Amino acid sequence: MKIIYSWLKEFVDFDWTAEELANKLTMTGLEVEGIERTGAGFKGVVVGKVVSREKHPNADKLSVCMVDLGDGHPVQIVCGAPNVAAGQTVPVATVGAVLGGDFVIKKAAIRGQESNGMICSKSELGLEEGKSDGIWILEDSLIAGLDFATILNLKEDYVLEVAITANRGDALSHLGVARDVAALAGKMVRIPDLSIDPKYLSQSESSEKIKIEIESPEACSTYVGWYLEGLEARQSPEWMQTRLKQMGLRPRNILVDVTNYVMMELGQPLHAFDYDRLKTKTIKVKTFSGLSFTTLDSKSRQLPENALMICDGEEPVAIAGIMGGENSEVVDSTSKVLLESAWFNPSSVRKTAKKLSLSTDSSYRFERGIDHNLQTIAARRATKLIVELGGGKASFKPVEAVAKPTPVLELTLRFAQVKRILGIEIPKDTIHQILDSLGFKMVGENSTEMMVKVPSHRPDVTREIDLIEELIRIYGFHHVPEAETVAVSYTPEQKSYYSEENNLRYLLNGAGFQEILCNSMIPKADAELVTSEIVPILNPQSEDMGIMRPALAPGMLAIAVKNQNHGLADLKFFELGHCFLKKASKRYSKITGYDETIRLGFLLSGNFMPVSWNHESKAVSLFDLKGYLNAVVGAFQFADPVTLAVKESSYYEDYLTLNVKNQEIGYLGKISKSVQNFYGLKQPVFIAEFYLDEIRSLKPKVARYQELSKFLPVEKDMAFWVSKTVAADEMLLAIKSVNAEFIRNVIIFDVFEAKQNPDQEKSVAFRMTLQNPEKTFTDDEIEGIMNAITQTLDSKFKARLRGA
Amino acid sequence: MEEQIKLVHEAIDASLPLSSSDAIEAFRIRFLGRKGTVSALFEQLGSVPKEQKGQVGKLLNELKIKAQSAIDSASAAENGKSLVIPKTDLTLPGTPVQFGRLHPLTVVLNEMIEIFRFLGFSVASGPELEHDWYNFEALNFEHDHPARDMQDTYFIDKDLLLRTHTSPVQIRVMENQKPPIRSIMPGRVYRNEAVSARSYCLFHQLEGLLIDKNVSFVDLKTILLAFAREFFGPQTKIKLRPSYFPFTEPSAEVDVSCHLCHGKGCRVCKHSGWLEILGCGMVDPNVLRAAKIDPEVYSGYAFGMGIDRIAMMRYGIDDIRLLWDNNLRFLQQF
Ligand SMILES: [Zn+2]
Repeated sequence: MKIIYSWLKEFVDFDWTAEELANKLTMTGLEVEGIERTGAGFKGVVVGKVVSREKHPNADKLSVCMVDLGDGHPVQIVCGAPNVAAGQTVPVATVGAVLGGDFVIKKAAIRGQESNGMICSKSELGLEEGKSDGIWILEDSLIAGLDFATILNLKEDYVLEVAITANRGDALSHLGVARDVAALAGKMVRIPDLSIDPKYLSQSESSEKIKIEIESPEACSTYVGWYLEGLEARQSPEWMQTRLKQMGLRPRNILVDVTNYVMMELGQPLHAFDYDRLKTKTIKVKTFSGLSFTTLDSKSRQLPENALMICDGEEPVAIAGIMGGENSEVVDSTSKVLLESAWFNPSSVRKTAKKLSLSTDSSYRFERGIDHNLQTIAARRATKLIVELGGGKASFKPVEAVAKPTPVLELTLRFAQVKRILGIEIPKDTIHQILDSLGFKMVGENSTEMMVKVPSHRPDVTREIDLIEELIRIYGFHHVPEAETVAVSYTPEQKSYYSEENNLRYLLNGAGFQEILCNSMIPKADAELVTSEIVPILNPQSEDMGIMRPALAPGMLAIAVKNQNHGLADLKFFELGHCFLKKASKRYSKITGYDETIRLGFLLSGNFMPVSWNHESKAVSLFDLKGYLNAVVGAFQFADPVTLAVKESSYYEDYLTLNVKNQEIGYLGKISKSVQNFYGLKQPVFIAEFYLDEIRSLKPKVARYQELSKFLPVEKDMAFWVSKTVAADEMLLAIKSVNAEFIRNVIIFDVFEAKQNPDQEKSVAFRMTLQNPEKTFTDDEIEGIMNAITQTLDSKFKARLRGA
Repeated sequence: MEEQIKLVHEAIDASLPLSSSDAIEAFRIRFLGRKGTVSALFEQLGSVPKEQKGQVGKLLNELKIKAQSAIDSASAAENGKSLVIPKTDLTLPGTPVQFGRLHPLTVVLNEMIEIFRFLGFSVASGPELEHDWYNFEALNFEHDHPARDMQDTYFIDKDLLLRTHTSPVQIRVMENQKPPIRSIMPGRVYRNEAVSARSYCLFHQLEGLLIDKNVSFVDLKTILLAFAREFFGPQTKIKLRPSYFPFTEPSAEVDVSCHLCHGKGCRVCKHSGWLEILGCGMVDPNVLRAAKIDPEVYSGYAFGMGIDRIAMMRYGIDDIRLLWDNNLRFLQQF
């Protein structure tokens, strides 16, 4: 909402500068986002007479002029305009003048010739767009030395851009803002002149010309109509046009301009119908459904269900509170007008405007609630302005149809409640003063509370807490002190995963993984590569952000490509975030029919270690990622072992799931060639994701101390020939199962294919750590364990001990 | 052979220390001279079986180094000055080890969370896919009220949306917990706003909620000042401006004195000396009622701030999209 400084002063007296006013408004909740200075864009420009003009001795295109500035002592000014000539009357920016806000004219020497000012063109004075052809030549009748801004009637003014919050419909006018100013300044507001000079009034009443029937009293409580005749749709006076332009409105003719002017002045939207174009003279306010209607912007609009319309008999002529119809709008030939000033229900107007995707100055105000006592006042004000400025005559009385009187709300304010909410006491006389200046009428008071009537312009104030907000908003938050202590009553720490998630982050940082954060909204094609159970957004900003990510992989891959294209190929990052699937929700999901889960994703690509003088770099493999996952799984501390299952996936060419007790807790894989090509990745990429909700649902291991063996462990190596179809992790499990008590650890330290039949056989070498908690092993005992291992692997996998 | 090497080791040990230049020279001739013991052993290396050659060679080298260093250190002592003969250039860089880093938004968020945990707040979370009830209605956003226009919303279906703020978690917390409640709720939120250098269609918020008996605006201002001083520095001042949020009343916007210019005015604070960082207010009685808490018994405050904007202020990031580009060169700066 734009507020014009000089206009505001018509409603309330204050002596603050525009800056001061802006600060004060901001501190009452009407945030001023900017101040624009208007009127003359210059200072110190006077009328001058060119006494003589000579060619500049050192420059062909310059002239040296003597200019009389009214004091009888002509000064020398160098001028570059081709049209300058002796005898002209011109605007002169004198030494010390300011143009365009900050350009100060100084005494100067131009190519060796003294210059005491500047002869101005229209564009230099900010009165013409672009560049003018030469200086502005004025009427000779103007007297030298007169202030040029005064002659042009350009008064300095300010337009404040005020951000009005959604609850403050009352502040969408100059009168409304003036009420807050009045409360701040301890003054009262002035209502504008409403008396209409009797010479502009006819003997007839509006009711002789028009009947009003309200069929939907909930949606329209009041409808005031005023009949005017003998009008001309002529131009509005200059001052009104200037203000409308400053408000960002385009002046049209006096009939339309006045409706806008009064709306900006008092906050009541008005509409002028061409009386002669109304088919019958009975205005009906009623709802319609499924109607097609052409508004005055010549657009045909399909109206939603139950749209409130203004009708001339049965034909709609306006969408109530939103926009008039083309069929009844004021045109150049209009001479009779029905002026509408009504109260429409905010939510009714909003519903229709929303469905039409049409927001007007009028609907904006109705949606926010206007003063239900303002209709006749605004109609009278507009009628006065139209007839007094534009001629014609008005009926001496409007038609006022009140379908449903709005009750006056009375509220009780408990003084103890003020203290309870704000933590401070506001002196009672200050409470009185604030509420009084905001228009609240006191109707009763005792030692503990007071009763007030809410003014009709504040429909947002309906509760005691709203009154408390009004008090502190004017009184000021600076009156609320900070306490010495932060009082704390004990609440048990609520279960949260904050620390756990952070521990994971730090763990991964230490392992070299960089954290990234990806957009959760991804392209449909990317999402559909992962799953068909996608969650689309109904109103996406663009197709590229149409689907909620079903997994972290697509976002991470997109980021991998971006980095690759910046020449960063060695990638090692993780993300922790929410993923979304449209499927029957799991037990931890809060939304039925959707599965929103928290995942931890990893991406590895490029070289495993940076190049260095003391070791060779090596391209990452799936086993590098698997190693990290193994370490992270260790950190999760499950009570039950994690098992792996090799699976098929179109997204991944090597793909494994991680499971605990048949519950899938994550996966890892190398992305397939087709996915790699889809993203334009130049090198293999390895990805893993953990499902943190699943993991949190699992039983954690409870750590129990186990006595450390005093006896030295023994390491033994054994290598076996075995069929390539045998899985290494099954061999590991089999070895451990031979003697879980003594075989403390088994690692695989060598794997290679048999030279003779590389397609069928491989050698797998194990290193066992054997330890007896009770005593030192004898050679026989070790021999016994190793034999048992050989036998077990033979019987289970037909493995043969190498070198045996 | 290995046995012989062992013997020479013992012989060297027995001849130390070398206390004169004559002793040093005699030692050199005995062990490292052309006919010295060590040199003789090297000559025998040729006859060692192939598979042992590597191992024996290694042991011999160690022996030779031992004898030479004995001479070197004794000579240095003799000359009255230290002598360093590096075996390798120690100025070569170490084996590269690179830690990952946290995303700058996580860094800032963690710091804030730690401050509030220190002040006694628990961390709570909620879904990003949210019902209209939690995101709007329970928070006192009426149907068909312009307050709903304050937040451009992405919809999944008629009733389901992407949460536009973390405030719905307030309701979820109040549903699951009786007062006193003291929670902070960090998380990702979505607004259907055009992407530019200054705004993105998703960002992060940190919400705070405290419900107890006798909680007033004084308590709110106290906690906000404590937070501002912990986060921005001990000299920080705060300023409250009245504002409007449907779920708090009275509501305020909070400015903190600019930590860069200390209130004098600079580019970051647009020469105002103040930075707008959060919104706050006393929990609206309608919100308490929606969560089945009696507003006549309990009162409380709530606040919320945008993490992304604060991170941009702190690090001088002038384009919000950088936070989402995840360029490693950018991320590794934090
Ligand atoms: Zn600053």
